[in-house]
Amino acid sequence: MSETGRRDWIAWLALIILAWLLGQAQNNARRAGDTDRISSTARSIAQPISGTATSVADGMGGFFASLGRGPALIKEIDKLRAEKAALEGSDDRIAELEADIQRLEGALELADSLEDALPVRIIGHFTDEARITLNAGSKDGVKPGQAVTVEEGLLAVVQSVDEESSQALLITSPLVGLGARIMDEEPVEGVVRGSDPDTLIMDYTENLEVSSDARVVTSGFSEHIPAGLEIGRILSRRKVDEYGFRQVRILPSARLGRHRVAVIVR
Amino acid sequence: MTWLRWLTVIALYWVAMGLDAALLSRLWAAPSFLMVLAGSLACLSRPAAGSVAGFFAGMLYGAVAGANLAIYAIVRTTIGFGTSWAAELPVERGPREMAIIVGAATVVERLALLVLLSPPDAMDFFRRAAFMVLLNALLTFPVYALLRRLFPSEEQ
Repeated sequence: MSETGRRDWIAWLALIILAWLLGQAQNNARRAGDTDRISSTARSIAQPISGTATSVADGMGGFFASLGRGPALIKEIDKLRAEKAALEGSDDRIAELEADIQRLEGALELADSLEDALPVRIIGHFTDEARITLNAGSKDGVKPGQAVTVEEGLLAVVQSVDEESSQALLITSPLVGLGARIMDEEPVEGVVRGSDPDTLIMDYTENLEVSSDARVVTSGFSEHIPAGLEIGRILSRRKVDEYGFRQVRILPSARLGRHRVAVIVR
Repeated sequence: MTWLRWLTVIALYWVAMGLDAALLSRLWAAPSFLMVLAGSLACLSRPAAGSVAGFFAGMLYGAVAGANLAIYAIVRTTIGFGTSWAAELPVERGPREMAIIVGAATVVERLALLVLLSPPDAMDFFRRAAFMVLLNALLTFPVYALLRRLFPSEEQ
């Protein structure tokens, strides 16, 4: 064997022995529950490169995965968007139904509170005529002139009655006139009539200034409509000097809105 | 400037160590950058230097991977020695031949580790080893070309 050949073998042997010694150091450190110095140093030195390589590998993995799964992901996203839109729509629907339930509960409570009350369903509405159709008629004891109320107050007055249904005019109809009382320090009585779909008018002759926002209720001077049913609140006041009376505009408390159930006071 | 060459080799070992630490645990099959570097260096040098190159490849991998440092260092020291010896055979020293030698060295290394480490799933180890052999051989082309410029042979 040549000199260089012998040196090569000696170098190999020396490195094998060194490797064995390092292995022993590693094993001793592990038995002690620790990391040997060489391993911890090597990891610290490798960390900048390995951290970067890991991020790149993750990014590339995600890129290639998206290439393969892209069309499927787009379909899934479209499907989820459609489901989300449907859920949002159903949230609105749930809110509507909850509001309906509240109105129904209010109508039932109202019926319980009144002496002779008949819960009815509003089955028709004719906007131009301010008229509603109810699913109760003469066989249920409904008579013209009776009050139709909801939780908020007086809604309409029965105008015509069939055997199984009846028609009522909303109190905002110009054809309706009601005996009313302004609940103020000194109550004032007069007649309320419809003005437009949103307001009522009441004229009175007493020379009394009433409070703005005062409550207006039925006066009871009617064959069928009891006293105390809420009509609305005063919106504005004016004095008509020319004719010597005062006039108030009233905002009705009850609006047809989404009400589907009302109570007829018999 | 000899110091610049050795600084480059150290930098290459640093990069290879980092890549091995990141990729060998994340990918099912990945090349062993330390093996490629050590094998390419061994192809350009005497067996003593090849042993040193293999020793560092084994020690650094054992250290970063938390593997058995002694086994990896001993196996790769021996592989480095053998690779240098094989490269001294009267064959053309082109990149293709060196790639074959490094690929063969990887095969021997994997077989040695199979015997010494006894991995739980030998078939999976074989499959991954096959990919590693192929990838190592392919990577040897550019690495060997770079190292050959750094350490030109006497003929050049």
